[in-house]
Amino acid sequence: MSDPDYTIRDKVCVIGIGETEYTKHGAIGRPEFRLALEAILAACADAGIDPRRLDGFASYSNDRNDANRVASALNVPQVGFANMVWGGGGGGMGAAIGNAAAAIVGGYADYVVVYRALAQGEFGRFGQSRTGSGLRGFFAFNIPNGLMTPAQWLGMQMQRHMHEYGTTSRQLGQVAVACYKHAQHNPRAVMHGRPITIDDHQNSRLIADPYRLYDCCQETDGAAALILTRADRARDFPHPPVYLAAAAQGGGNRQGQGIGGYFKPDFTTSNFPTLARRLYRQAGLGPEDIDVAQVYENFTGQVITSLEDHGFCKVGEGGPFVEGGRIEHPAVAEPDAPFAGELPINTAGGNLAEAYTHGINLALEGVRQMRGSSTLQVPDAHTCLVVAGPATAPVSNCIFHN
Amino acid sequence: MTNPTFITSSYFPTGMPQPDPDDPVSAGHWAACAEGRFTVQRCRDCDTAQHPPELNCHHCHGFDLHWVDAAPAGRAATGPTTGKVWSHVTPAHPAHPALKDHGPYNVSLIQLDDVPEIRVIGNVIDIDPAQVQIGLAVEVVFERTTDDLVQPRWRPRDQ
Repeated sequence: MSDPDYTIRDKVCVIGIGETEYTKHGAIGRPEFRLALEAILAACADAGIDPRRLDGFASYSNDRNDANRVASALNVPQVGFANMVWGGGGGGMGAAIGNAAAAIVGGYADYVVVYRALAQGEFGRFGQSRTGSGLRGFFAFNIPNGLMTPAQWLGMQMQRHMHEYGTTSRQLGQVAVACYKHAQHNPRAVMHGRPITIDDHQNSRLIADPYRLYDCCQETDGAAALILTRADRARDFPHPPVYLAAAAQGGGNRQGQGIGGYFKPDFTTSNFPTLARRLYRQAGLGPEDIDVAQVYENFTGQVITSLEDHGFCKVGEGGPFVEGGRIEHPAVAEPDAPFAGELPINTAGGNLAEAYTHGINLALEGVRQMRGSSTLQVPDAHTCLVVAGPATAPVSNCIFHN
Repeated sequence: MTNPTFITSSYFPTGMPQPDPDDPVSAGHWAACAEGRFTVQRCRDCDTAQHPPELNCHHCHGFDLHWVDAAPAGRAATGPTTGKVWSHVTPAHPAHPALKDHGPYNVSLIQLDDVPEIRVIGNVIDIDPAQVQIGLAVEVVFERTTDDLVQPRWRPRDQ
């Protein structure tokens, strides 16, 4: 893998991004498939290409908007690549980007769109179990015990992290506050105009103790898409190219069994240690080289463990790491914050405060940071780590650079 | 042999989802629960215990699995399967129609004393969920949840 002939490093670039508006769940008022098309068409317009040039389609999380239907709706003359990452949730977001890159480097397709559309108003909300009797396999051992939703599954995991390392609810709250602060600069964010304080977090109702309301991602409607092509064509498009330094996907031992990973040897990881090693090696970079990060927040605690997994601090030190303004953009950190802006994360508001489209909006923000066009631009940012849904493997990640 | 404890109270309201007692992967577990025994899946070839159950042994890849009391030989005669709370969560927001207006409850990950490589998901009953802490010593009891299904529950020891 360290052989440069056998990586995707710098062989692919992002040339277009597009998205719909984001709304509270059920409020967007258009069918999910239309949202997918709108995002893809917007990404093509951003890239300055005719949508009929798309010949590759990549998604994740059992996206309902079948690549074949999309390809027909766009009347593309041929499909060279259509691919879905195993698993629900946001774990496959970076993997879909990596698969798009692999398809391009492997010669399957030239212009691959990575997309994800979610209309919970049309298809029902997350965070609810509707199951009845007759549960089989792993689900027979958690749902009948009232362990039914991601907040509950991952709250159990965070409780252990708090026990082992002294991580506190206020530290979880620092993640939420940072994302909400960043969203105040982003007019696209659902929580734009609705900032929260650490006291708001501490006073919010318990969803699944230790997780409170403001520890949890939103429920929203919307869609987003990215278009990737060969890096040697990078200068043919309107925007400055954003290169893919590396992408990784998968997990470690037993990290794909049950969303809480109750049975894996290392209970409190977000399942990135093996990926982070491969990602950094492929990119030829380390955590010290990352200027800005977009770290998927299904829940605040999983941001803390993702930061640990990616080597920004030692295992167990993620709680203190997110204090002191370290993960906040310097423009929004408190004036006396000792570590203001050392590693700004989720600069558009993330899943907590921008929108919850299974994290693809985090990838778009990563591209904007590398273009220099974020609503909360990090000065002199040349690398952006994107971390996809930390939960059950396969999880994934990628690094953009400019 | 100490008789297993079958409780008559219900930890959850009616209408909660239930396992399929005939699932070929876990039918043996539910059959043992009906007899008041808490079992884990073991491989006859290499004796590895594993949970959740699977159709093969994750260690030696053999297919000859059986269900064995979660206690070393002889201990099953002395008392119920015991464990310690490894982690826990207190769901408060109802995530299923059956739990509407129910209020907070406990779900714990329990490390078995006699098969410490196994953690099982269960409910610790007979205690305020807010009082459950990691390390709490628990023992298994059994609750009939439907005509054809008995579920293990866990209660604090030495009470």
